[in-house]
Amino acid sequence: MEAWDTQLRKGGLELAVLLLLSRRQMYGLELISSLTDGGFPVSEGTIYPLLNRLSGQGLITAEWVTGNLGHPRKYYRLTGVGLEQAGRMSRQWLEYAASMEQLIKSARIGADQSGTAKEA
Amino acid sequence: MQVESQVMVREFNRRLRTALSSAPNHVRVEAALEVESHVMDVLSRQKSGLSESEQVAEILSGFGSPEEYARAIMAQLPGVQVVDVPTGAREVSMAAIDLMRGLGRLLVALIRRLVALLMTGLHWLRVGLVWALGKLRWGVRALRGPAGRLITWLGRRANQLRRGAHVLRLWLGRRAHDAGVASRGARTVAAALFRWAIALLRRLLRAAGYTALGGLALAAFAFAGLTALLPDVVGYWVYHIQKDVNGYLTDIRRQTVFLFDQSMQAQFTSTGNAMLVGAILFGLSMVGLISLLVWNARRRRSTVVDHS
Repeated sequence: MEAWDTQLRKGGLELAVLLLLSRRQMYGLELISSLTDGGFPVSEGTIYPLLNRLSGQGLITAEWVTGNLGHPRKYYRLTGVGLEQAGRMSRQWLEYAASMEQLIKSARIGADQSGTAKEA
Repeated sequence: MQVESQVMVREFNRRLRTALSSAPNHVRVEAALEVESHVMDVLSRQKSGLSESEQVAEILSGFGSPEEYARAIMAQLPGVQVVDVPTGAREVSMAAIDLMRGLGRLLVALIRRLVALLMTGLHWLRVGLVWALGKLRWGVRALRGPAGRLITWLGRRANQLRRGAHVLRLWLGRRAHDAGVASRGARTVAAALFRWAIALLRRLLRAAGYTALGGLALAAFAFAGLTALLPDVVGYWVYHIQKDVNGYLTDIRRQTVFLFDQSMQAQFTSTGNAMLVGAILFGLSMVGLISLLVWNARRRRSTVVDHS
């Protein structure tokens, strides 16, 4: 169950990052905090390689910015291609979620009752 | 960041770059910068209750071990095949490569020494042989038979060899002389330039020695040298000074980073800053000196007495 949960989160992480960046440009720690607050707990060792890959695919761009803190931060921003990709992925996700929801509703065990059904 | 924390981050990044040795250079540099920047970011949020080094250890643990993090990066890179080499084996292989390089250098040095020794030995052997054969030939002139003839023959050959070597030396000497005549013009120019440079240096030193500005310039120069020589000690202080002028320095550092080889990058954070500040101070001191020279020259010209 735990492994499935992890896989589910990993699968959605890319879309979550793209959606967060569609709001505004963000730096690494900011992204980690936002994802954790949004129910996607993620470690540094996961997010930076993912950002690296998205950057390599041209979905996001990165820029070093020196603020008032005295050290530079790498800000990530969504590109046009990334925005299109985020839209496409969102539609697919919603379709998938709707199909899954219908399946759950039509099943004899509801999602909220699955725990009690197992115990029984 | 405190020195202890800097050491922890540097060590993490060193192992990370080693583990990323098969990745492109910019990936190695970026990954290390990313780790450093992230650590600084979290530290700037001032977590309470933990010492700085404890915080840094906790932040770094978020990346996993450097090797795990490197593997995660490699897995995301298109076209880079991830070969699962155990950490110990990787370190052993790196150590083996270092050892082989060292042995190679040692071998080359040994061969060079041996060749030099052999040449010297051959030279003295020849000299000794010629001398001994000469003595023998005269000493056993009366000796008859095959032994006497052999010694005489050997003596003649040795004499010929000596004469041949002498002729060769003369010939080489003439060629060297001719070459020297051809390059005499260039040598004269070089010598003149050298004398001019020494004279200029003397003037500069004289000007610098008698004024407070000169003393200041020398101190700045010494500081510049010190920052380049002791990056870990002075770089730490420079880092704090740098916070005030950080914008310019960091921009230059980021742009320069990619021009350096990754081996330079290992020490770049502190050394680069120290060298930059050193270079700026050196430049300022040179401007001061030159303006002092100009001022001095004008002063002298204005005090020349006209005897006509």
